[in-house]
Amino acid sequence: MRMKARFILDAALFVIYLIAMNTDGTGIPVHEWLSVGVAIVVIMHLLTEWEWTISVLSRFFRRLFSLSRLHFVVDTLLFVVFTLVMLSGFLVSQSILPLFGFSVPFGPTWRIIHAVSGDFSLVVLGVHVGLHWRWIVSAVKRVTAQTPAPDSAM
Amino acid sequence: MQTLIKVFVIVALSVVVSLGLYVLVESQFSMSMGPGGFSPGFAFLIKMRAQENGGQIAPSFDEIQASGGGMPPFLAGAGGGFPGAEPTGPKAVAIDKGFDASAAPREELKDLEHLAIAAVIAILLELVLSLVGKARRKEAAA
Ligand code: HEM
Repeated sequence: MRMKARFILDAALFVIYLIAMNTDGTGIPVHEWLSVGVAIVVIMHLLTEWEWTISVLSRFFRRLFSLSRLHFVVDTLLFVVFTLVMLSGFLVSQSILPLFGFSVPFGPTWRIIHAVSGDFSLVVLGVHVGLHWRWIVSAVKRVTAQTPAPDSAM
Repeated sequence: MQTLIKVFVIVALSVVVSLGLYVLVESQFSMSMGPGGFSPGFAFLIKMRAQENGGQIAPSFDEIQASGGGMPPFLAGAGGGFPGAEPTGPKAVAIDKGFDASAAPREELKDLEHLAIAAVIAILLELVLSLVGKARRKEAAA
C-alpha cells in the first residue's frame, strides 16, 4: 500500500479511536458500533504491517537492533490491551449484543476492566505513535507536498 | 486469498488472547471471594479506577453492594463516600452509575494529556535509542 494511503488509514483510525472513547459525547450505541468499526480498521492496519511483523518476529531472538525490538514489544502490548478493551466491551455491551438477543450477565469487574483498559490503551497508543514519529513526519511531508500542477491545456 | 488467510490469523490470535485474558480476569479479579469480602484483585481494580477517575467508579454501588462485598479499607478513609454516605471532601469516592456529567470533559482531557505525555516520552526514547544505535554501528565499522 502506498505511504499516502497508509497514512490516511492510520490517521482515520487515530481520530475514530479518540471519538469512540468519548462515550459521554457519542452515547453508548454509537460508541459500540464505532468501536466495532475501529476493530475492522485495526485489522486493515495490521495487514499493512504484516511483512514488517513477520520479519521482526523471525529475527526477534537473534541479534536485532533494540529499536525494532522495542517497537515489537509495544505493538504486542497494544494488541493485547486492545483485545482486552474489545473483549470487556462486548461483555458489558448494552446495545449490540442485546440487539441480537444476547444478554450479558457480566458485572462490575468487567465494567471497571473496560474503563481502565480503555484509558490505558490511550497511553500505549501514545507510545506507539511516538515511536513512529519519523514515519509520521515523512508521511505528513509527502501528503502535504505540492504536486506540480498539470498543464491546463484542455 | 492470501489476505483472507492473514485476516484469519489475526482474528484467531485475538480469540486466543481473549480466552487467556478472560480466564485471567475471572480467576484474579472477580468481585467476590466469598461471603463478606472483595478479592484482592477486585479491590485493586476499584482503587485504580478511583485514582484515575477523580474518585469516581463506573459500576453502580448497588451492584457492588448486592454481591455482599465489604468496605475495602482504602475506601473507608476516603471522605466517607463508601458505602453509605454522600461523598464529601476532595478525596471522596462516589460509587455511582456513569459519571458526574460536570467532571466528564475534564476527564476526557486528562486521557488526552496521558496520550500526549506518553507520545513525548516515546519520541525522546526513540531519539536516544537511534543515537545509541548510530554510535554502535560507527564503532563496529571502525
Ligand atoms: C476501541 C475499543 C473501545 C474503547 C477504547 C472503549 C472505551 C470505553 C470507555 C473509555 C468507556 C467509558 C468507561 C467509563 O469510564 O465508565 C467505555 C464505556 C462503555 N463501552 Fe467501550 N470501548 C471500546 C469498545 C467497546 C465495545 C466493542 C463495546 C460493546 C460492544 C463497548 C461497550 C461499552 C459500554 C456498554 C460502556 C458503558 C459501560 C458502563 O456504563 O460502565 N465498548 N468504553
